[in-house]
Amino acid sequence: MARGGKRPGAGRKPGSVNRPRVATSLGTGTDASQAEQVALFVAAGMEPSEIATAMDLTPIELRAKFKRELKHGATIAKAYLIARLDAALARGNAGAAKQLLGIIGTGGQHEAEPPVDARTAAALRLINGGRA
Amino acid sequence: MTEFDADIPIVETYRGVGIHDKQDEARRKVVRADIDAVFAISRNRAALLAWIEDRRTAPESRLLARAFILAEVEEHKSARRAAPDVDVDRVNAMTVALGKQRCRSRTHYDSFYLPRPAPGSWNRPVERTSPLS
Repeated sequence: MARGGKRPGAGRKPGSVNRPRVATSLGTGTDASQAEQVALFVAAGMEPSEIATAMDLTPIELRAKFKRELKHGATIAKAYLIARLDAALARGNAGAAKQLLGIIGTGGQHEAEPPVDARTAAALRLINGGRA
Repeated sequence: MTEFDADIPIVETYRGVGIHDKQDEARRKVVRADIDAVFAISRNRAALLAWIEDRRTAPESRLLARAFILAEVEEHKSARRAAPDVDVDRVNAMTVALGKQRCRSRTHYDSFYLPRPAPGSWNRPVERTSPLS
């Protein structure tokens, strides 16, 4: 009778949550992972010409394929990152919980804003499209 | 609001002030520092006016300086006090285009409607590391 060896069903399962979400090489991988890369690059302030070069696409190909990511990259990247934090939270990552609470709890601002006086509040209303 | 009138997209809010898109993290650090500086001078009308005239400062911070000045003017109106000695038209002229997409300079962190200072002038807007497409 043979002894030792891997028991049946052991090892990483197909579709494991630990698989890489994005291609490790730029410009390869699924359309969804490429879209995420483009969104992240836009959020980081890269110009479309730079992104096209990095992804090995012409600017025209980039604009045709990733029009939405080029226009709303920062918002899309933020959404991806929040979703990842949530996934990490689901796996029991306490640090992710703290970060997520920091984002959601303060409405997405950097940190809890100190209370402001009336003039500052009026100025902030003006700058955000309201009236003083 | 038509595409022509659209505001520059905001990618981040810092102390209640929107930071414009198409700026890398190094540039956004500069913008945050300028916003902090305006908050520090928010009660000093002369300093706010000087900030608005300084084309080297981040557009977002110049808009905030304008907002503080207009908030003070509005306060005086509401309290039925004499208006502060401010040329509101000039304040608006120097800043109102800074938040509009169509007025955005491709090459500098500034509005292209404002006249470019002479070469060698101290008051030149900061040049972008790469022009907007």
